[in-house]
Amino acid sequence: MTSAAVSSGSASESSAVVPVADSVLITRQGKTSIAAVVVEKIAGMATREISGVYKLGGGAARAFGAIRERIPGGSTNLSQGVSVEVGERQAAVDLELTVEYGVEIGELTKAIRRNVITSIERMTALEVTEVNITVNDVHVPSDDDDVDHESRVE
Amino acid sequence: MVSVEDSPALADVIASAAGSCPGVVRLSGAVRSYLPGRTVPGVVIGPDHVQVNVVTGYGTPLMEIVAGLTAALVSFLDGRALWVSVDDITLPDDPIAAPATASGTSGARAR
Repeated sequence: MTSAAVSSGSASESSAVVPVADSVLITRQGKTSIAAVVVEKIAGMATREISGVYKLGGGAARAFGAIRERIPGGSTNLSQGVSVEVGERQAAVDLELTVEYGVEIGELTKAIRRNVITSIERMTALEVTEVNITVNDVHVPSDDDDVDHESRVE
Repeated sequence: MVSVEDSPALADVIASAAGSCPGVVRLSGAVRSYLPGRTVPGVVIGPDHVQVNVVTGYGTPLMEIVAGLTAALVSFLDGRALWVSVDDITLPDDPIAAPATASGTSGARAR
């Protein structure tokens, strides 16, 4: 369910970029490290850019992905609906979101995945290995007064 | 006796050069250089490396910003390696926080 093979050409931006350890990209003259929160913000931004996304998060806030370690040595950053793991030169993203009612969810998630991968790879030169998307909720316009759902059964 | 306070420290010079690089919003307070009576946020100078912690804007690839930082700082490195840590990015709808305190280190706005 992941599409990681994006040849963005970002690997050839700096001469002699040698990936080594711990979200660190080493150049001939030094190294660059990118905090997980940076990747998280980029992923969140890329997700919100797709119309049809009502909001990130919503529904029960689960520690999605915090237990599994998909990338050896990766660090995790959790925020409202966006969880990322950043490793040596790769990143994995988990998204939880609420969609607008009437949206074709299959197409929406494909578009989100594409935009998230492209944005992260272009901006950080990290390879995105997976983008998992959970649609938690649907926003119906009449929900806007945020009334608690009353149970019809006891 | 020449007062040490009169001459800008290397940390100030580096902070100023880094802060005015395109794409750098400000220096990050995660690390600091400790000078008499004040600190310089975002810069640490070691015997064989210089570390710069920055907050960047959204939009420009980070590797380009790093290349810009490297070019701007190479003359101050004196052979030391440059470590760049991108600690945060400012999204277009974020309020731009005030520049890091102390010693006039004001970052350039990202465009």
